This record gives sequence, structure tokens and C-alpha cells, in this order.
Amino acid sequence: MTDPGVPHDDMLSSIWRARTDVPDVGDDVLDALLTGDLTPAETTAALRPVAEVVAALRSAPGANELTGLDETLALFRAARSVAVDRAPRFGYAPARSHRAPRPWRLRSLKIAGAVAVAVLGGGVAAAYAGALPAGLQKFAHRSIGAPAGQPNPRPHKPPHPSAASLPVGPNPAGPAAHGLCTAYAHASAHGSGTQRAVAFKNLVAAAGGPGNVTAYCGTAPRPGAGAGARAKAGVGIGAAPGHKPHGKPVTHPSGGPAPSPSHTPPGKQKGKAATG
Amino acid sequence: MPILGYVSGDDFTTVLSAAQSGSEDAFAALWRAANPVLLRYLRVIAPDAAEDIAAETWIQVMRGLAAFRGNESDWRAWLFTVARRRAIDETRRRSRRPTTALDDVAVTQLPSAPDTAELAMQNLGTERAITLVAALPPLQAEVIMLRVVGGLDTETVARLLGRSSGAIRVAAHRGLRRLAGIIAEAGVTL
Repeated sequence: MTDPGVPHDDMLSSIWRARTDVPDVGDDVLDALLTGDLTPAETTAALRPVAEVVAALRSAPGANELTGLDETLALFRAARSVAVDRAPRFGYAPARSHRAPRPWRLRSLKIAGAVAVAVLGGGVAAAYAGALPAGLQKFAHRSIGAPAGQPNPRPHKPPHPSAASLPVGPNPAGPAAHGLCTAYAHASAHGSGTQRAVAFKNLVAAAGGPGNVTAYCGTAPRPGAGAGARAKAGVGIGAAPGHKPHGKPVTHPSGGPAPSPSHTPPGKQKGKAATG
Repeated sequence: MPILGYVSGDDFTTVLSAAQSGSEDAFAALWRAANPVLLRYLRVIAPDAAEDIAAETWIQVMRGLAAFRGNESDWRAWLFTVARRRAIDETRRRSRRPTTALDDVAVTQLPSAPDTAELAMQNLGTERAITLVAALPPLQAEVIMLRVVGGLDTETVARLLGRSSGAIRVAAHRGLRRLAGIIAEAGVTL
């Protein structure tokens, strides 16, 4: 609508608008809308509706857009704890010496997740318990092998054969030994019959008889040492050297959101993210 | 009103540095500033999986956080790059699953012009604005979201989408004009 004073032009303009995209504004005005330099109040009447849409796109966040922070922070915390835990053990030094030392660095959430499950509580353990929101749970399932969560409550992989319906009890040769020994000593001292429980049967069997339990328990690893060893083993096996996330966005050859054949398949990309 | 998607108050460099050193509060500040923005963008390019993809994006960002270098614009460009890749992966993953044949979908479920017009006549909340933009051709919709919501400049969007700056500018302008057309056809008066 270039000249409202001329009815003929106005009519032509209306016809044009009805058949094509409207309104007939300059590119510089549209650019100002895109950058937020032009508010709805500053636009012409013809442009105001689209300016309102743009303003609505940019409006302050709603509560529904700020849910999930706690879960994200739980993962952040768990991953950070693992990284801090392992840094001094390996004499880790920042790759860029001119920068301030960074106490933590994540090379692979997959590794961090596995270790965190072994030695920590927090978000990654929550992922295993299926306690995360759907999005995080799904990702945890794909990246660290946590249960898929809803809608399928059953784990994708069948449980170990030993995890059948019959009670098995903790493994007295594993990390549970110290706890079992403590409980056994307590039960013995108080004349309890709980030694017959599955767990204690395992302990007695592992020790080679009731008379050998005390000696066996003398060799059981303390919890701290065991956890450290597992953490070390987990990191050592899976640590991925040279992970360099991009500090800048990488040019993407694809145009729209549709999949492009030039992209790495998800499986490959995941492997690449975890190791390279 | 705080500018959507920017770390308000503290200097971005300070916040980023603290987050890289493991500060939960700093990471939370980065998240609060960017998560709504990412969600709005993802709801246009991957409406069925926006929340999932946003969560995945953050996990990947955690992984690369310590090595990130750049200012707030670089940071946002990186976030959108990660989110976009995740969206593409998700779209591909879903496309491999059996889906409902189009014939089986009720006519009322299909997007149609009357629905869009009806939508435009209501008050324009963020939800409706996003739905209106999502009705545009995919490139125009994505460019508008990256420019308006992402706050990215033309050159950054061009790099992100692998297109020329000229093509991005044209797509943004056409998108806005078409958006105006959609609203005008619906007879909306605001």
C-alpha cells in the first residue's frame, strides 16, 4: 500500500495482496523485524500482524520450557564427579597449558555414565533406575545402556541367567563381601539364625565352610578400595583420547531438517562422538 | 523483559568459564537462557520429539563444554548446530520405523489451510506463533526460527544450513511475507 490517497493504486495493491504474499514492504523492514529492531508498535498496520507473530516467538519463556533442569543438573553433577575423581589419578593435565587448569573434562559421557553407576549416585544412577524424564531416559538408554523407561518397562536385553526368579543374593567374592562379613559377624555374635539366608549361604560356601568365614572375611576388600579399583578399570578401558568438540559450528551441507545422505548414520555418529 | 536466550546479568564469559570449571549454578544459567530457545526451534523442525532432542542436545553439550571456545554468539551457534544434528538423526531414526499410511490418517488430522486460518484469528501466543511458522515451507520456517528465536545472523545461519547468505536472506523475507499472507487471508485484525 504505497499511496493510500490514490484509490486506483490502492485497489491494485489489494488485488496483488490477495493473490500473493503480503504486505509489500521493503527487505530492510523485514530485516529489522528479524533482528528485533522493529517492534509491532513501530510497524505499519499492514505489517503489524506478522510483527506480532515475531514478537510472540521471542516472548519470555514459559514454565513448560524450563522443566527438566534438575535432571540435567543431576547428569552434569554425576559426570563432573567422575571426571574430578579420575583426573588426579591419571596425572591429567589440560591440553592447553596457557589456559586456566580445568578440574574436569568429559571425554565420553558413556564412560562417565558407566563409572558413575558403579561408584556414584546422582543422575546417571537415576537413569538406570528409570527415574529420568522420557527424553533423558531415552538418551541414557541409547548412550549408556540404561533401561529404556516407559513405555516398555522391561529392559531391552534379557537379564543375566543368574538373575532368574530364584533369589541369588549378593556375590561374596565381589564388592558386597565387606558388608556380608559385617552382617555375618553381627548375626553370629547374637546367635541369630539368619546365617541360613541365601546371602550367608553364599558367603559360607565361598569361604569353604562356616569355620573359614572369619579368615575369608579378613581378606575381603574394603568398600573404598573396591570402588576406586572399579572406577579406575572403567576409565582405563574406555577412555577416549583426543575428543575435541567443536568450538565453532561446523558447516552443515544439508538444507532443511530432512535427512541428508551426506550425514553420518546415527550409529556411526554415536561411535564417533564417544571415541573421537 | 530479558532478551530471550541470552545470559542476562552476568557476563557470558564469566558464566561460561564457571560452568566449564564445573559450577552447577553457571551451567543452570546457561541452560535457563538457552533451553526455551532450543525447544521453540525444535518444535518447528521436529515437532514430535522436541523435548527429547533438547535433552540429548544438553547431554552432548556437557560432553563438549570444557573444550568450547567462543563468545555468546558462538555458543548459541554451537547449541543450534548440535540440536539440528540431533533432530536430523531423530528424523532418520523415526523414518525407519513403520508409520501410519497417509490414507489411514483421519482427514481432520491433516494440516489444512482452514486450521491455520482459525489459528491465526486467535490471540497470538507463543504456541500459535510457532505453529504458524511451522506451516511455512521447511527452509523458510527454519531460517525464521534461527534468525528470530536463535538470534543468529544471516551468515551464521548460512553456515549452519550449508547455504549461501543470499539464499538465507531470501528465505527469511519470503517466509515473513508468506506469514503475513496467511494472517491476512484469515482476516485477522490485531
